[in-house]
Amino acid sequence: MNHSPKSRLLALLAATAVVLAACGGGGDGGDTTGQAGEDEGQPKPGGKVTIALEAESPGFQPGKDSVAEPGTMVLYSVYDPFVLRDAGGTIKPFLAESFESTPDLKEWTFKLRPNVKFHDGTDLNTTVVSENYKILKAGTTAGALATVSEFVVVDPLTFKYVLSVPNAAFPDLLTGVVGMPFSMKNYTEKGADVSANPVGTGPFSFVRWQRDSELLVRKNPSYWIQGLPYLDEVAFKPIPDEDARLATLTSGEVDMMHTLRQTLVKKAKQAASSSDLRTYDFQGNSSGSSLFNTSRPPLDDRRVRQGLAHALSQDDLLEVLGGTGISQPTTQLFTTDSPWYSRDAAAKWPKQDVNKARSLIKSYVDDPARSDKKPVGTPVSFTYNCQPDPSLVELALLYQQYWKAVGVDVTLRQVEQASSVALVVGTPPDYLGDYDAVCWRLGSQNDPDVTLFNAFREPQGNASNVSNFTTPRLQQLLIEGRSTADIERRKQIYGEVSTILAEEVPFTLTGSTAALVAATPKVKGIMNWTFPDRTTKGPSIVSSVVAFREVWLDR
Amino acid sequence: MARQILGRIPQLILTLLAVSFLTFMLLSLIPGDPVLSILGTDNITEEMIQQKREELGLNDPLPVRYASWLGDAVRGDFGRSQRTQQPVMDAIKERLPVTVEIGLLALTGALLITIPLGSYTAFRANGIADRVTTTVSFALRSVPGFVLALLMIYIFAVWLRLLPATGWTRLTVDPVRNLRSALMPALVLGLAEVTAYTRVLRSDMIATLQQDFIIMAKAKGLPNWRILFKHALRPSMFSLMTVVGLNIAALVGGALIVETIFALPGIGRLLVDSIYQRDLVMVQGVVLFIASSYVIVNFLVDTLYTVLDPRIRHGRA
Repeated sequence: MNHSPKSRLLALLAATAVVLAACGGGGDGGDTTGQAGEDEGQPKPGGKVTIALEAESPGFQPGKDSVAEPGTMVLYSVYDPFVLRDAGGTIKPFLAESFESTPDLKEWTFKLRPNVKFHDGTDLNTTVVSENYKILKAGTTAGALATVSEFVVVDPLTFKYVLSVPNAAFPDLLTGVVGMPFSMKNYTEKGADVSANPVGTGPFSFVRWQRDSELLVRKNPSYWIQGLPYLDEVAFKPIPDEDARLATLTSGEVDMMHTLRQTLVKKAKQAASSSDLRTYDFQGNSSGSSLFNTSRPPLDDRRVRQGLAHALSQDDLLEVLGGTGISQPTTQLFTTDSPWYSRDAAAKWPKQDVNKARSLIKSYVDDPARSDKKPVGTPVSFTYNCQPDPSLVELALLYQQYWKAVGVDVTLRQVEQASSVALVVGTPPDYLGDYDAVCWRLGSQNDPDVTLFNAFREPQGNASNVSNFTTPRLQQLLIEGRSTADIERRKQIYGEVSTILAEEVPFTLTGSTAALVAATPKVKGIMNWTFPDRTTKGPSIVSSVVAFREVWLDR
Repeated sequence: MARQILGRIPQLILTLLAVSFLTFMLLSLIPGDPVLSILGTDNITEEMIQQKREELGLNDPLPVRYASWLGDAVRGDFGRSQRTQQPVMDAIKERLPVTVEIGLLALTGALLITIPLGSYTAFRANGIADRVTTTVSFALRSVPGFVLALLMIYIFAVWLRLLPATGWTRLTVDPVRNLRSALMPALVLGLAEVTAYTRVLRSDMIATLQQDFIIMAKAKGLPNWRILFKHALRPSMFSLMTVVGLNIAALVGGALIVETIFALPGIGRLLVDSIYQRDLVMVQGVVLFIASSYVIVNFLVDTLYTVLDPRIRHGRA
């Protein structure tokens, strides 16, 4: 990559902007933001792309390793899922040729494409998928497959999942690791080292991995989609320090980087506004939140939770998080462009109203039957846990001030991430959590059933219901939501779920997490991936995860 | 001398045992469940949690876990990482060359600057060079390592494009690229040490230069460089050696930050990531390895005194 003195100066200015980012200022640099559907010209084959990731992954074996967004990019390079979500949010066959369910949504039959091979030359057939299923059912994915009562091999290319309960959202599970077939020959041969030696049917085959340094994948010459992938190689480099990752991109040593940090999203956009870098945004359903333990006084009382929510200004909270101008304030676990977004829930979401907040808190404080059994008139008090991250500490202080203004005493407690998770989940057999309130993250791009079902079913003994909140109506809706395939009915159901959550406030929300990919202008095809028919579009970059299958270099 | 060294070995073993016990206890007392770090909170069941705890041996009593872990560790088996399934010893072997290379480069660089600088500033104590050195070195010492690291990245990588901002190339793959990727991290680590080393050597050297044998050497008309480096340096090195030995730990501590910022696959980053992910088996193995190395290096430094100082060698110190 050649750089003129001017571009070097611009890169330095961009870097200086990074150093001085705390001073703020600067524009959004939105003019360089990439869009899906842009005409980027005819793809050219060949070349190598290096992407800087925010973290290293433990491994890449379905059923053994849990990965976040950086690892998902590697997974989608090495493996293919049976199904994927298209740009409109509908699940469509990908590695599977087709799929269908019985009307009662309890039997899901999938048909594989013929003549697909793993990178080690072995065939993809239902014998392999059946062996895969046994490993997944006993592994870290067991919870996701809990409702699958039987796996049936129909013929060499057809298989069936039989569920114990109807589940309209079942195919959603197969967009991730549960639906990514892996070579059984490799799994058996590699044994305990299989996590570091993945073999799938994906567009790229694994070459080598030096942990915390570089993972290299190379073009799969016998890939089942003709003409893909375009690139010869992709290298994944974990660079955990956010500023160093951006500096590595601006210095030209890598071609792309991604981030899920609001502060770096802003810095990358500033850098792009004064250089030739291009940025690609994604606003997801994942949102920052304050989670309340509704099994504990005083947060078991709806008046307290509503009062706390009415005391907050989402705009101020987003500003502290560095998300102003980047993240949208959220009112539910779905963004405004999600098919599951509910206007009713948005209208019910508690807006900032300090007087109303004071009145709600006072009604609890003056209630002789208040749940914390304290004397009438005693102020509401609880402990708020948050991680010792600078922006989160600032956020927790802001919460404390808002709640103090409406008469609530909040003790802040810094708790490191792993400890925080342990406290929120709690201990067996109840799993009711050992916390009052905590800064948390909620929401995902999955089907609402995946996001909501376990999170709000009966809390006793349920480690996934971290707020311990549920109501009989909520449970009924969640069961109904997975028992119907009628999309309009499902929208109504999840709309009502969001409305209940807005009224009951088991959590407050800040804003959706903005994710970003930044790349040099020669990297093309980041936003425009398609299904095997090469016409159906995919949903560009979800949570900054790039599908490298159709990325190409304009060399 | 051999008897003196052998006499210290039981003390060394006891220290290592204490280190291993404290490491194990400390990590067992830290809150946070490694099982939840592995499984996450979505779609988990109690059966999955209990099965994983059993698989990792977390349900066994503490003494049983310690005895089992120590028994394996003595045989060089530190177990397998709970997250990556990689043998801990393999992970250490894979990453040790990176940390050692950067540490050695930093140490060598720091000593190459310290010895002439410390000697000269002692020889011309309170002169202009001494004052400038003191000011600059204190300024460097007061800048946190991560700030120095980011500043260097912007100057040498983003602006001048002389060195790579981040990343690592193995020595066996390309020695030149290896040196380029090691230079900035070593500089950040080494510069922080130069200040302390220079001050220590300078003050010892000033004391040495007032000794009778130095006055005698001057009276005999020996050149200054010969007096400084032939006669004064050796007896002025003891404090410096002690500080260098103790600073091995500081180098590892610095590696935690430097390896994370420069994205280097070393021991420091392995430890940081393992702590964040509650990978207790990995953390225990790495901490035991670092602590043992520290104790052994300091044992060797103590042994070196007996080689350098005849008074200690002959038991007259």
